[in-house]
Amino acid sequence: MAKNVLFFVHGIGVHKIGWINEPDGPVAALNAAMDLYPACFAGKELSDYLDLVEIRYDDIFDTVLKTWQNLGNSLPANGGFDWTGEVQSLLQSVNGNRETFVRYGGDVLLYCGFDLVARAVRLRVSTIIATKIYQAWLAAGGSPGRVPRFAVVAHSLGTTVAQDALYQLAQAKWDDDLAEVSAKRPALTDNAALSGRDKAAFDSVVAGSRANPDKPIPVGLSALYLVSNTIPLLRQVDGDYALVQSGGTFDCARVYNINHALDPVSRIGGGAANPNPRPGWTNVTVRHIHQRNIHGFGHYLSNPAVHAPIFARLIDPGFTAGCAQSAAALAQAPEWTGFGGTLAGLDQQARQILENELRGLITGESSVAALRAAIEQFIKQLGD
Amino acid sequence: MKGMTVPAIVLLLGCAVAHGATLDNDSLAMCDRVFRLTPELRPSALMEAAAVDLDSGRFDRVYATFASRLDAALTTTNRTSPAATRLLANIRAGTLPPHAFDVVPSDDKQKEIIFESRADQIEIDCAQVAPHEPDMAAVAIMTGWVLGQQLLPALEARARFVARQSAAHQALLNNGLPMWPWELWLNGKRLGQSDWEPLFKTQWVLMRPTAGIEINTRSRAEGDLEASVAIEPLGLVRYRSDDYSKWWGASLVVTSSTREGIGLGALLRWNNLVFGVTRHQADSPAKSDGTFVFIGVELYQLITKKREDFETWKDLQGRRVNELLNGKTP
Repeated sequence: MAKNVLFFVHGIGVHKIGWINEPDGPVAALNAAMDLYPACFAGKELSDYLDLVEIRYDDIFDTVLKTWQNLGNSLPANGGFDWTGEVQSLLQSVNGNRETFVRYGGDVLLYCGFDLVARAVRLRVSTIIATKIYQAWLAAGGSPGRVPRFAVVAHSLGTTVAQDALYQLAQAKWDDDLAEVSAKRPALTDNAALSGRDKAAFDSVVAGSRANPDKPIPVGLSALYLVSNTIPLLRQVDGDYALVQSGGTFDCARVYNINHALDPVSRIGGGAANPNPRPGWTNVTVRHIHQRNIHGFGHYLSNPAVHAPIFARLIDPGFTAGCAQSAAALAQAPEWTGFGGTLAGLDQQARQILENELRGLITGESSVAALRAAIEQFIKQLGD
Repeated sequence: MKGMTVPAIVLLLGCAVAHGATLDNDSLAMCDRVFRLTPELRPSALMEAAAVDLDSGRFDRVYATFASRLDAALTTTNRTSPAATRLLANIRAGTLPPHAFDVVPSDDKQKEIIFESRADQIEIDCAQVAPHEPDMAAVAIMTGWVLGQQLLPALEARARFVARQSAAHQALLNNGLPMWPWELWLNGKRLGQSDWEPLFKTQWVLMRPTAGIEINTRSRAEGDLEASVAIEPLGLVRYRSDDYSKWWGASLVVTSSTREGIGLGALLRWNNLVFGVTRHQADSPAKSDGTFVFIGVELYQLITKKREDFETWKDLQGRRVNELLNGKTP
């Protein structure tokens, strides 16, 4: 039986292949959350119910960083131009260490400062989503009435990456784009400028768009979960995916804007402003502090107010009305509105200090520079 | 046709292993219960009725069939209800995206929703599911399924095209002439708003440091092989392959590493091989201007390797000659 599909999009940091299944990753957090409802899931795991799809773009940042490091290393030490030495020194100071790069907000810099990198990242995300959607619908062909449901859960920088990619994917009016491109650059659409493989792909899209005239090809998300939302500050495309609609239907049926009251990333990133721009938009603000890294993907997902909407929507069968009621009650419990988890034993003074530290990172300024500074400071505090 | 108005029957109420709003084996799982559907509206019956049109791609007729079957199954009162009217109209139109017809639960699981977030959203109260609502939900889901199948060629074309686009961009970053940060920034500014325009096959070169060797063509004595850095103030690369692994290019070049002062010239680039000519202006009337050859590190390494290969080959030949002279067979 076809399963509903849940895509995971990571944020800043180093994410290796298989990152969603890491011990501190989102799947482990959701599996642990399922244990809170033994009557609902009977010991089953998330993958028993859902098709879990990992989206990773980390390696694109690695490639760029490695390229710069190699370029720096290729120069002779005394090349005659002083500034090349400066560049070399700068690149070598990072020394190919992604952890160091991340510490200084490098991922944000790469995505927001370099259009080519941003596009490569968006296309990576789009490719995985578009391919999986096609495969799921193809598989559903043999089961009349089995309609796959798709959802994306994105974290931190990943909220922006996902929004940008989905916007491009959902907004692409292939016929219109073709006409516009043709008008601007006729050489492109007579196909002479395209190589054999690109020409075939281009023709394929034209054929596909004609089969679906007068409207974009939908992505058709059932839900988008924006965890620690950075979209308002970091968005690199000129539109908002959440608002994309065709014929009165939103391309994404429901959007969850999920932020922590003390998370500097989403506070500076603007996501925590709790807008309500459309029907089917839900703001979720959590306040639990179960570890020092309150920005962590897993830390967010562990909260019933966050994971319950994921379970309720995607896990059928399993998460019944009774389970939803349990989650709603749990979300109001002190453990999930304040200190708990590994920090449950913290005394009142230490709690206050930690809260003050976190509040101190939230500046009134909303800029990429402020965000990078907050990330640097936040990571530094985690190490202290 | 009155028999079709028999309401859907709840099979299991509050069963331990409930189903979501899905169709399975001609029954509908919704609101944590399983409902039996009016026979004419079961998936198998709908598929049978629409089989010919589905096979021939007459999707408009499929939607008309579904709508007329649902219409016939509803009582007059139900048929004229706002919810049924909206649903029937949208099924007949067949223009909404598939997910609009999905029947999804509310977060508290108290409702099931069709056309979620649309102005004409239909809500089914799980506490009191009306007899005709499971039928409506079932036909909505079937309509979504057909819409998805209708969309399949477009979805395939899009997936292939996006994958091709992604591969091209990654190939440029992985295989192309490596870009310094400012070059990466500059070339990124050439991209349009849409991710779907084919990626350019050229690359601007700007203030690019290039390591190499400069050789004085006039004076062998002064032609020290000196490692140097040339700067390419401006240049262009054109890619010769889809995977961005082959290219040629040309750039203006400035060097300053020799004792002859600043040199100006041009260079040609063929993949990683760089060859240029620079002119160094004499700094005193007593000296004449000098012409230098600039060789990129990769080309220098290639030449050196060829030279080493040649020396090795000569050694080998020499040994063979000696062996022959000494009466040994090679």
